[in-house]
Amino acid sequence: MPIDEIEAKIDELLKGAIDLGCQTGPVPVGHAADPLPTARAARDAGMAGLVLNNHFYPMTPVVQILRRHEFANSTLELVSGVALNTWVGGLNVYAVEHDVRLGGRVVWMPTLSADNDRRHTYRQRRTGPMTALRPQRTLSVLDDLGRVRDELGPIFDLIAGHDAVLAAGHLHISEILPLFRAAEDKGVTRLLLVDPVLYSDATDSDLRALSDMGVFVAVTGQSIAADPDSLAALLAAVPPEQIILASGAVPSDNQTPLHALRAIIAHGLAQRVDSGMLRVMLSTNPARLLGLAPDQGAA
Amino acid sequence: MEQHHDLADRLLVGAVDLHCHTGPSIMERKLDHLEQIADAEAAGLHAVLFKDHFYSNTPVMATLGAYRRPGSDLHLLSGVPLNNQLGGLNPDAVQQGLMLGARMVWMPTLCAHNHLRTAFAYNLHGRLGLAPPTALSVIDDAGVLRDEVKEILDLMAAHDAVLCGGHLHVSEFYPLFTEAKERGVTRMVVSHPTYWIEAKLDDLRELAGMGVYLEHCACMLIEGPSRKFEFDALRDYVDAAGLEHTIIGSDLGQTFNPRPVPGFRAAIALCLELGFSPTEIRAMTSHNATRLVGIASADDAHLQDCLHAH
Repeated sequence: MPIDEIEAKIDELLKGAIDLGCQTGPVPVGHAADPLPTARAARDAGMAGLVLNNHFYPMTPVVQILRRHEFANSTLELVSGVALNTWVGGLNVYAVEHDVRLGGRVVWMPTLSADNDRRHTYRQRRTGPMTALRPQRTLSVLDDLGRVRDELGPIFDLIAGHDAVLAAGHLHISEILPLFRAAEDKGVTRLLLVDPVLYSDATDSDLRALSDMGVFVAVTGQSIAADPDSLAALLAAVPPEQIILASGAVPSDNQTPLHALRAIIAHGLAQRVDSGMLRVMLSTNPARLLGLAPDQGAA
Repeated sequence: MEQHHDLADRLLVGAVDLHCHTGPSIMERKLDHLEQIADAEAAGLHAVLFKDHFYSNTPVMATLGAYRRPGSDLHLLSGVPLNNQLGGLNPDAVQQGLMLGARMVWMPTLCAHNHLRTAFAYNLHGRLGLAPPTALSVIDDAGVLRDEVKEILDLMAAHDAVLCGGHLHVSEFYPLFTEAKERGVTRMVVSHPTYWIEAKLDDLRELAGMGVYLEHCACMLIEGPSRKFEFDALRDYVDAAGLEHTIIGSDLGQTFNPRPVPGFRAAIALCLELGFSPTEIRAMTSHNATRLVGIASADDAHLQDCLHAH
């Protein structure tokens, strides 16, 4: 396909898209986009929603202000949530309660503070940007006996009570399976697994088991960067009705989440994924996960 | 009176409010941050410090700065409140906030052990249907400052940040501020020391002697539902701590009180009524606050006819 034809196709697919992995800041280390130009660019592209997030603090206060003022009458839904890393006290029920009360819709299990993340990124952690921070206590959602930690019980209750999303990505599959099962038992219905190829060590059959539970699996540019075949592999393992394409972390301050989202759409087109299927993964599925559109039920 | 009216408006130009409670918040608020920015710009304030009890406004202000009026030089200040929602006395929360530009760190406020005891009738969690707070104190059962507080103080010293005593009990302040000074924290303040904190005039005197600023709150001084003190109480507080260590903040944003800017103006008018000179009022409503937080002082050119060296 000629470049301008691809660009036109991407423009078309962005209309109505919801980016679940829109990383915004400011952040103390690493890169993240400024939320205001990011939201304006998404609105101008005709997108239907952004889930603004970062590892360090919830974007909910700023999202609520933007929703109340500049984006009050916009068709762009601005969504946010809280990542349960050490900067908000880890698996902290008060952090969850506060965020969902303020309007947060997604609760991410530990990301940079996950013990499993440290096991995977120990090399980067010796010299990378994280060295600017004091040593972090790392976290698992399981206790030493392999049971889902007690503190997650009231967290599941809050997520279920607010019909919010429970998301995990930096945990190991040995944590994710019991976590999601326990959450489901407590009434959590919106479950999201992000970039399983990066840290989870999940096999195709694990992913199928999760997908059968109704878990959505998000693929961001980080998955593609780590393994160019990861989207194709996921499509072979899981029905497209359970897959979501999202931007993910931006590699530098010159990159925007919209660039990153365009790049993953371009990747999908290059992989000859059908446009209709791409639209399902960009618009329909994230809307179903977030409850922004009628859910036709898990595939 | 007419003269006071005009003078209060002029003193509002360049004023600094280090205690502003605007939304979004899980507590009901009269106005939000953007509306407060507009109010403050219209009145000519020099700086506002946005305080939510449960989240840090530092990243929020980084974004909302874009909404200031063209040419506005209103300082948008923020800090990190160490309540349960950020993990309590959490050095990680402090470090990331300071790296993003937080100027103040509040010791526990609504989750302070002292607050839950002294202000038990306030019962925010009961009224809002929130999980009961985990009570926080900076000292352990033996009265010794906790190790995590020492780590927080080291981070604050490295960032030259302002330590606010939050809603700790006055008895916690002495170990806290003594250790803070030893670790190189030089900017220290106590909010409404005579309300919920149980500081006496002797404490105001001693704390000021340690270099701690005492912030008295407009909402507790001016006529209105939250008034707590006799109108002339402020005179006693200033006499005890000294003018140079006395600050007036609004502590406004509650739905049933005036908005922060008109409330702050009412506090200035009250000071004029009490016979404080414009120079003294300027110290308490602008200069002491800018010195405390370490920002440039406000321009006083429009007050040259009424300010005097003292």
